[in-house]
Amino acid sequence: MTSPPTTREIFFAFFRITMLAFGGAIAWVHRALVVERKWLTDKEFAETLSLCQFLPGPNITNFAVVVGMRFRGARGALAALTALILPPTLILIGVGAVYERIIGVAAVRGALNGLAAAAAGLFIVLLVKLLRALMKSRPAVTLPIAVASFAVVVTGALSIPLALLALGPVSIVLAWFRRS
Amino acid sequence: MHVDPAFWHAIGALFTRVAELALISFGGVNTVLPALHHQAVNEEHWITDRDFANLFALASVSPGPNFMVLTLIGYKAAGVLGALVATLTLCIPTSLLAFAVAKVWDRFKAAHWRMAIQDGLIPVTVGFIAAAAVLLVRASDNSIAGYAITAAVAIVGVATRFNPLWIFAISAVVGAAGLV
Repeated sequence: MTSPPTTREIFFAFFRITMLAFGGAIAWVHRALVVERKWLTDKEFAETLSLCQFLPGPNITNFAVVVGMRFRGARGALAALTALILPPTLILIGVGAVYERIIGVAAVRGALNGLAAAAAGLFIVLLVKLLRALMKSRPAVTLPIAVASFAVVVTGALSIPLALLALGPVSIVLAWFRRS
Repeated sequence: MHVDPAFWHAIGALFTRVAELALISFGGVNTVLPALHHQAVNEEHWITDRDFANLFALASVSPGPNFMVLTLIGYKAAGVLGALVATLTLCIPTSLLAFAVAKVWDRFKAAHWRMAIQDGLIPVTVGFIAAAAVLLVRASDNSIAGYAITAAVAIVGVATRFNPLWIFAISAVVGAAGLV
C-alpha cells in the first residue's frame, strides 16, 4: 500500500460496512476492507481478528479501533468506531420504537428470514477465504487446530473463551517451534 | 424534568450489568449472550423471553453489528437514554483497552513471541468462524429457499467479484412473499 487511507476514508468505509451489516458485521468488514479496498490482506485480516477475539468486548468494535489506529492513530480509531456505532444506534432506537407494531406483520418477519439466509452465505464466503489463507501457511499443523476449535465450539463442548484457553496455548507453542 | 425513580433505577442497572458483561466478554459478545438473556429476562424483567428472540433476530438483520441487540434491550428497559447507556457502556471501555493493547502489541511487531502468539491464534479463530457459519446456517435456514439463498450468496462471493448485495435485496422480497 502506498499511503494509508485518510481518516475520512476510514469513516466512510466503516459507515458503509455498518449500514450493510445484516447478520454478522465481520463478514462485511472482510468484504469492504480486504476484497473491495485492499487495505488488508486475508492474512492481516485474520491476524487482526485474532487479536480482537482475544480482547474483551465486541470483536467488531475492537477491529475497527485497531484498524483505524494502525492507519491514522487515535483519530482513525475514533472515526472507525463512531462510523460503526453511531448510525445503527440511531436506527435501532427507531426500530425499538416501532418494534411492537412491526413484529406482528408476516411480511416483515418473512423479509427478515430472507435477509438472515443471505447473511449466512456471506459467512461462508469469509470462511472460504480464511481457509485459503490458512492453507498457505503450514496447513499440516494449522488445519487440525482449526478443525479442533470448530468442533468444540459447534458441538457446544466448550464456550469460545474456554476453547481459546484450551487450544490457544497449544497452537502458540506449535507456532513458536515452527518459527525457531 | 420529572424524576421517575424506576427509570433511573433501570439506567443504573443497565450501566452496572453491561459494564460487568463487557469486562468478561473475552472472545466476543456472543459469549455473554446467555448471561445477558438471563439478566434481562429473569432478573431485571426488562423484556420477555419471546422479546429477546425477536429483538435478537431484528438486530441481526438491521444495520449495525449483531451485538447491538443490546441497544434494543436498553431501549426496552429505559428508552432512548437506556439505548445509549447500554451501547456506550459496552463499547467505550473495551475500545480504549483494545487501543492500548494494540499499541503495545504493534511495538513488538518483529518479536518472536508476538509472531508465535499471532500465528498460533489464527487457526483457532478460523475454527470459530467456521462454527459461527454453521450455527448461522442452522439458525437462519428453515426451508429449501433459505438454503438456496445462502448457497447463492456463498457461490457468488467465492467465485465472482460481484457484490452479493443484490441477492440480499431479492432475498428480502422473496422472504416478504412468505417463501423462505
